[in-house]
Amino acid sequence: MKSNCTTNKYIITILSVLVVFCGCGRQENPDELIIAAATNLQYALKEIGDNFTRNNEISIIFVWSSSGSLANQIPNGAPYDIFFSANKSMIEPLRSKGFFLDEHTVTFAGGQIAIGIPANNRNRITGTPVTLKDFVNPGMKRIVIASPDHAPFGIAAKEALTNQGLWDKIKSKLLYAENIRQCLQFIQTGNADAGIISSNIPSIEGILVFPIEQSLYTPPEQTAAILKNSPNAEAAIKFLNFLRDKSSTDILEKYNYTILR
Amino acid sequence: MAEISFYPVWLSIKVALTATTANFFIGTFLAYLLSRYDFFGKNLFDAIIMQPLIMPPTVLGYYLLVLLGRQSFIGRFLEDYLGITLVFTWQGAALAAMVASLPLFIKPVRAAIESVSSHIEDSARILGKNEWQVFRHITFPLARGGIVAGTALAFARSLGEFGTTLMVAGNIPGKTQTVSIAIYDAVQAGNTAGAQVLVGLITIISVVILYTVNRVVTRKY
Repeated sequence: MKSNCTTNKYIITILSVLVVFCGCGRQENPDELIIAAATNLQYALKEIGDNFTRNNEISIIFVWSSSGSLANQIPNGAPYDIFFSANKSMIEPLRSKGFFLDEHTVTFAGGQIAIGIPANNRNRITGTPVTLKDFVNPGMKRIVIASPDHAPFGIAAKEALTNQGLWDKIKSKLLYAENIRQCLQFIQTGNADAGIISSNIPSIEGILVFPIEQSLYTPPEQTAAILKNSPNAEAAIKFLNFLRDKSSTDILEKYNYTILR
Repeated sequence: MAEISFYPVWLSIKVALTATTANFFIGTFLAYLLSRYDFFGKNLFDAIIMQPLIMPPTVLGYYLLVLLGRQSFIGRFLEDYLGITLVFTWQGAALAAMVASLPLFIKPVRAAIESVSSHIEDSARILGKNEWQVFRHITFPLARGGIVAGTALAFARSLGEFGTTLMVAGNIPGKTQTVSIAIYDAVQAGNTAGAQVLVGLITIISVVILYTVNRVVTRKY
């Protein structure tokens, strides 16, 4: 009898847990924006978002990932209000399928790539700047770039390497990171001897940054679009307008973006 | 970037509990079906429900996303007619954890039910008990060891679930960001201190829960 009683208790507990959890549905909050953004924008957008929240009392939840993976989530029903892609070409196919409010799609800034190497890199001759050509150096065994298939900074990195005539020579040493953040992480932890990163980030401890000539690549065009399904389109439009604000363009410039109008 | 939210810890526990509860009912039913009945295509069915163990979690997640997302018939039907959105919600995360951990529940439970002698069940039937009563008072209590083991395994798998959840529910802080995803996110963002705190917390919580389950089970039974 005792065991039956315990079994009953188990079942009752489990059922009540279920009931409690099923009770909580999905709530829409008008004072909250969900912004899905390419990881290179992490620092600039965070600061712009903080200013926006302070001025408008609309809080923002940021979802950071590579533009490609965010773009894939949208047709499947991701509940984002605004999508910030690190290049235009990720926006276009979705736009033609009608996922965005067309009149509010803006390309607002151009990104920048740079060479990153671990600060304790043995191969580096102190005092000399590192250039892309140094990637052929046999001491550079593993070089990381963001995925050239779906990450815009990876696409720009491939373009720069190709234009420099290096792509085929160093292809076998390349590691593909899922996005620019993972790229930084590989360099920071010394798991890659060098890499091509976004220079639209604050200086990171453990990583030395060297510029790449701008003529070698097309700057990733930072583009924002509002999702047609957004329940907060009004707030989203407000945010996109806020990107044009002096305080916002100052922040973008601080992180080495070229302002596009 | 050093701020840490503890919401993912609570969310993971909620997701793991929901998934485990659902598996408890669905899994016990399926395990009973597989161990006590013969039907056409049984071995194929068994092979299919074991797939989540073999498939890479992201592939499993991709299937679920395509199956339940807004692009699919099922996803649109659920959303338009029943108002249920599974993808990119915590319920989606629970579903992902459930599917990923179902085989881990079924295997030990099925073995446990198979080990219950059918003579005892038959005796109960002769004494006039119906099938539910036989299951409830004979099979279930005798298979309890395997059921507890299955529950613990399924709970552990759900708590640690990463790849499937990321595909189905995304990484939305405060909504679908479970501990595993928050840890991944923190490491990616270079917030290793935050990641370590979460790793420590979830390790302690899971050890405490599994230890308690073991204690309760071994002392009483």
